[in-house]
Amino acid sequence: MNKYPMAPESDVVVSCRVRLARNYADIPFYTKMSEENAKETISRALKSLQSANINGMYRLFPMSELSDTERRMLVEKHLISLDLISNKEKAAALISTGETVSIMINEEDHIRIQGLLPGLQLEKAAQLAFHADDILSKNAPIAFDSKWGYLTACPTNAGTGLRASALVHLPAITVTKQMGAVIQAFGKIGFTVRGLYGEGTEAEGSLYQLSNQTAMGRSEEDVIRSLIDACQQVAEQERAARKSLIERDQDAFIDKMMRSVGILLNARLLDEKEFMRLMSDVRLAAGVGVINAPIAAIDELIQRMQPASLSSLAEASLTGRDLMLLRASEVRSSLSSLIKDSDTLFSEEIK
Amino acid sequence: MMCDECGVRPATIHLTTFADGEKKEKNLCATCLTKYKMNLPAMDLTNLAGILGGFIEKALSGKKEEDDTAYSAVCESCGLDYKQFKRNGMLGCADCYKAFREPLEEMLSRMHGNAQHVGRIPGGMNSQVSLRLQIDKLKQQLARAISEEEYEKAAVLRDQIRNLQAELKVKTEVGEGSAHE
Ligand SMILES: [Zn+2]
Ligand SMILES: [Zn+2]
Repeated sequence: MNKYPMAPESDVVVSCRVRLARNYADIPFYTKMSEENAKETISRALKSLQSANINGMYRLFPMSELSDTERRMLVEKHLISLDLISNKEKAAALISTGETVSIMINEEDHIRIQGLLPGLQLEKAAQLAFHADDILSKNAPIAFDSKWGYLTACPTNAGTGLRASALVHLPAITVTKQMGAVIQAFGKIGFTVRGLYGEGTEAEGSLYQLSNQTAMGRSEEDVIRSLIDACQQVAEQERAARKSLIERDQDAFIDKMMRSVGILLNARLLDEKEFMRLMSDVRLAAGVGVINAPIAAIDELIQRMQPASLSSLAEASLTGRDLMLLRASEVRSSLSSLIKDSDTLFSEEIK
Repeated sequence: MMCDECGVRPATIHLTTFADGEKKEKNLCATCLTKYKMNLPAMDLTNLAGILGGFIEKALSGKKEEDDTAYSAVCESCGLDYKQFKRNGMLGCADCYKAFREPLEEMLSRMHGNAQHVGRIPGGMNSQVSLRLQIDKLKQQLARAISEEEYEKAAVLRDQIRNLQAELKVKTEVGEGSAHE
């Protein structure tokens, strides 16, 4: 009945991902690969899925057969990387029906498996990725060395070929200027923090990607477990910072959140940057209960308002002003229905 | 990922700098890192989460350059020249790891200390790792259930843990040991 189930820790953790890099030992890596080789890796992956009888659960997307908008939409959904698009002549993706597993073929490595889930569910995301890995590497000559582990096109990924990552929303930590300390603390335990949107100074929308730096010398479970711990800790820290902001000046806090809601409900032109900044306030407001809207619905709206997804909605390749107009009108209608029956708007109790 | 500066060579290092409390990030190739560092003499390199680690530091000091021109090898399987690898950071095939074993050994040890893979191996490890992660999670839930005096729930969790442990034991005995030792 609930269209928007609540994912664990989703007030802070937007989504999580486990990626595995794999290569066939008997086929050259991407930079030395012929067209024949490229076809061979795709057909091997397909055959593996077929022999495990799960090919029906996946859909094949040959990059060269998609439109530019379709390709970029997959990037906006985090299902494929920009690198896969730049390899579009040779590359393909196999995406599971629920969009929780994506297998990129002929990206930097022959195979890159991703398990992707909302909230903090890294164990499950890992399970999904390992399951696909078991199927794809069964009876296949996978490039592996007993000392160096899985061999990858770039030696920096050799070892487990694992990248575990979490996308976290840290508006209160950002505004209380604790982000530098968080980045350093993560660095000490081997994780990198980077802003998701915008480059340089401040991450637009206070969204950050946490991921492991290296792939050798630590087992998959060790890396995943310490990322889970680190995410739980940073989530606690973010909640404490939110609480202290509210305690410092509740009226000012609610005022700021509701002004952002007000702009989103009334704007006629919305660029991506402003949209991300305002939606960060909406997400925070929902997280602490200032407004009553499901966080999953807010995240879905954020993703739907990205350029390619909007273009797909308009069935035309939109740019500049057209994008801003459509974004504003979509946000007005979607957001008003999301928080229409919000009864906690001016609630006394904020968690 | 391509270098943010030149956009031509693949980025081999992820650089994070702090200036006036502001964080800046860049993905750079070794060549551009050298230039970047010259332009910003005051840049703090302590946060350099170098993917190639000490490799770059040596390149910066110029020492490594000499060592590398001395080393030359070609991978017979794919034809990749070691110098080409040095330029773009990408290997041509699995056999390159054999052909360039010596410098790769040096580079990987510099990155990881003792470079030794720990973890899954190919060919039906059947998700031992995820089994262990599941067991871990259930154990956490069990501890919480006990502390909250939800004993019925605890009993269910205990059974689930026991089942998974049995499954894991079978898998380990079937010879799906992990790669290290
Ligand atoms: Zn460059
Ligand atoms: Zn080679």
